[in-house]
Amino acid sequence: MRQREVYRAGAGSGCTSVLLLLSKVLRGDGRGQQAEADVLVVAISSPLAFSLVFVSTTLAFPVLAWQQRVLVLQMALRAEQRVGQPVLPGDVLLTPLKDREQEDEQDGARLALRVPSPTRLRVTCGPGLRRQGGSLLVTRSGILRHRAPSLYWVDSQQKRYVPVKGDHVIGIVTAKSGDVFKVDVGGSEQASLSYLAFEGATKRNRPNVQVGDLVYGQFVVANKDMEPELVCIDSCGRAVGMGVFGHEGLLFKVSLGLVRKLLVPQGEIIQELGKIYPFEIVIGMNGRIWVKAKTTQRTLIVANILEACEHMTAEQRKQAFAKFSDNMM
Amino acid sequence: MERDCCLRVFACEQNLLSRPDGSASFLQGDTSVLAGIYGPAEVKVSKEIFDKATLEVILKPKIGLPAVQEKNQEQIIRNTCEAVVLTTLHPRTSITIVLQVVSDAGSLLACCLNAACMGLLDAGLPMKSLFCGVTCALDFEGGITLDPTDKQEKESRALLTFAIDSVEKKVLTITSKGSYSIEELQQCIATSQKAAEKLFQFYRDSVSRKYSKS
Repeated sequence: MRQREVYRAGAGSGCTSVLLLLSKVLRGDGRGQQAEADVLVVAISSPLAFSLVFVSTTLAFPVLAWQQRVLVLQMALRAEQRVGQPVLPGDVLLTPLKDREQEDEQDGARLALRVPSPTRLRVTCGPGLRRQGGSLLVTRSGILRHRAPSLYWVDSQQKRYVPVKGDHVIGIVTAKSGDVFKVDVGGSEQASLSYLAFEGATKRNRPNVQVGDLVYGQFVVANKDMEPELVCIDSCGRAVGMGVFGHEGLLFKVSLGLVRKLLVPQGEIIQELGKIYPFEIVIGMNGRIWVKAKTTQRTLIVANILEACEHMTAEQRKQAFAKFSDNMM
Repeated sequence: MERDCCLRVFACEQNLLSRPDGSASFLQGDTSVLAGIYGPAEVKVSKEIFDKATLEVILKPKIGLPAVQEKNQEQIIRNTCEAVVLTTLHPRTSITIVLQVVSDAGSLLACCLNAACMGLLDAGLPMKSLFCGVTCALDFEGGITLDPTDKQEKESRALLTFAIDSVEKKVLTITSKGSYSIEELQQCIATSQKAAEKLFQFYRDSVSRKYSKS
């Protein structure tokens, strides 16, 4: 590839190509000195281009190197430095370094026969990240998040659901065929739900599930190459809240980001809302929410509030809730 | 060659439609394109590919039905997106990009490419890198005009549109009309690569703005 670049430089467009090549080399390894050496290697490998490269390098290198260095710093930061910042597809994050001092302290007690530990941390890539050589490639836009010790992922706002094993979702039964139900979960393919995957179901005692019913279930198989499979029981055979539900109430769709926000372990939104008046709610990771309150009007109010929560900060939300509960009194 | 790269004023809005999974509208001067992205969604059995997603681009002209020119541009946009989107991560699904021309005042294909990229970003589909479209017009004196208007396009000797990726700044797609020399092509590529930097910075800013609220 390098050879071809040099050929192009020799062929006529001169300065630009060499600059491009230079910038590419610089960006590639992120160190100025190394790049200089590389350019020399290239120049030697093709005598035709030597003079061109030499002239343009001496002229343009100082300015360009400075610009490029700034760019490199911006582009290839270590993953831990980009946490909380927006990232875009194509960004490369260097694998985070191990916290050396902490490590040394821990190992201080049993120092004698310690194998020198690698400086790079073993990283778990969450959604939106892929491994590429020794670094991480971002494949989705969003905010980079991190959880100790080594989990990194990209938090993005999406609308389309892609099944993930272990997720709890709300599905709509669309067909009964033989011993499985087909359930629409909002993904690219309908999930299958065995009639034996309900609490207390046996071959003789079939669950009462009709087409059009809502089910709350969990994925046991969710694989890009296979049909997703739902169950409505846990590993001990109990329903723990799953199964057919919702003969009244309202089902609506929200973005996946909002669902994650509502289901945060110490999530305050639902609790705050519950203080105003009681209601029932089922939240599926696939962006579907089912609500039921005492009256239709109250149900609609809850649905509207939840939808509005997406673009509110905690502060704004508290104000809105305070105002609302005053009105209800 | 050291010419100023001046693009027309560009602007973008993401997530403005409620029905599609991702949407964006992109403005370049008076040219405006609206993109809606659906995917990964269910796919027709006849179009199903067992190891990757089926990528489909639909370009709707402002007036009338899509003709041969639109079909050709659809194909160009499709091939560009295919090079960037990681379709292998969603096998047996379909990704549909619908582009509606709102107004055409020159550099339409470049604007379509930009709208498609912003839409894909909004839909959160996995991508290797970003891409952008840049149009260059060569006049009879050999001067390069970036992002030409309708009038400039008509007066030009040759018209070149490039799609450039954000990682290596390499050319993904070239489509051209008219005659030009190799040197001129090289110059156009270099100029559009410079313009692409500006566009990518704009992409970054608009994504930062989108996520600053949450």
